[in-house]
Amino acid sequence: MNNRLKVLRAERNWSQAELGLRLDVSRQAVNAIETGKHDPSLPLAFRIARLFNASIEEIFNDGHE
Amino acid sequence: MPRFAKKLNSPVVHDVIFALTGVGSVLFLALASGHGAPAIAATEPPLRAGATLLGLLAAAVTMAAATMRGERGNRDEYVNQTLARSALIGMVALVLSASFWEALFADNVGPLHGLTVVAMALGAWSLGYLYTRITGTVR
Repeated sequence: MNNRLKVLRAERNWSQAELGLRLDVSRQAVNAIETGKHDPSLPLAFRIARLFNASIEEIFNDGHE
Repeated sequence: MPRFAKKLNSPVVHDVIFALTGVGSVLFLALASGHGAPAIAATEPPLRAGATLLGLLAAAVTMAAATMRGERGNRDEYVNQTLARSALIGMVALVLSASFWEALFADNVGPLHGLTVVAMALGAWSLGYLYTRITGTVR
C-alpha cells in the first residue's frame, strides 16, 4: 500500500519520533509505515487521518481506483 | 500508555531480547544438543503420560493467552504484528525442521529431546523476528 505519510510529515517538519509521539506509536512503527513495510490498522489509519486533517484515502492508496 | 510500559515494549527492547535469545539458542544447540537423549524411563502408562501432557499444554495455553491479553495494550501494533508474524514463522520452521530431523537423522544421530526442542523453538522465533524486522509485516 502506498502512502503520503512521509510527505505530510516533512511538510510539518516533524521527525519520525515526533510523529510517533503524536500517534502514540513507536518511531519504528512510523518508519515501517512510511517505507511500506507495515500497513496500519484501521484505528491507527483514522488517527493518522485526523492528525493531518485529511481522509484516509487522501493519505493511503491501495492501488485500486 | 504509561511511559515506562511503552519503553519496555518498544521495538528496540524486543530487538535486544530476540538477539540475546537467538544467540543463546544457537549456543545451546551448538554446545549441548550433541549429548544423547537420556534413556526413557518406562514408569508411566502411555495414556496417563499423554493426559498429563495435554493437561499441561492446556494450562500453558490458558496462561499464555491471559498474558497476551494483558500485554497487547502495552505494545504498539507494529510490535504486536512483528511478534505474531515471527512466532508463526518460527512455529512452522520448528515443525518442519523437527519433522525432517525425525525422518532423516533420528535413526542415525538420535531423536530430539526436550530442551533441544525448546532451544530450536526460541531460535526459530528469533530468526523469524529478524526476518520480519527486515522485510516488514506486509509481505
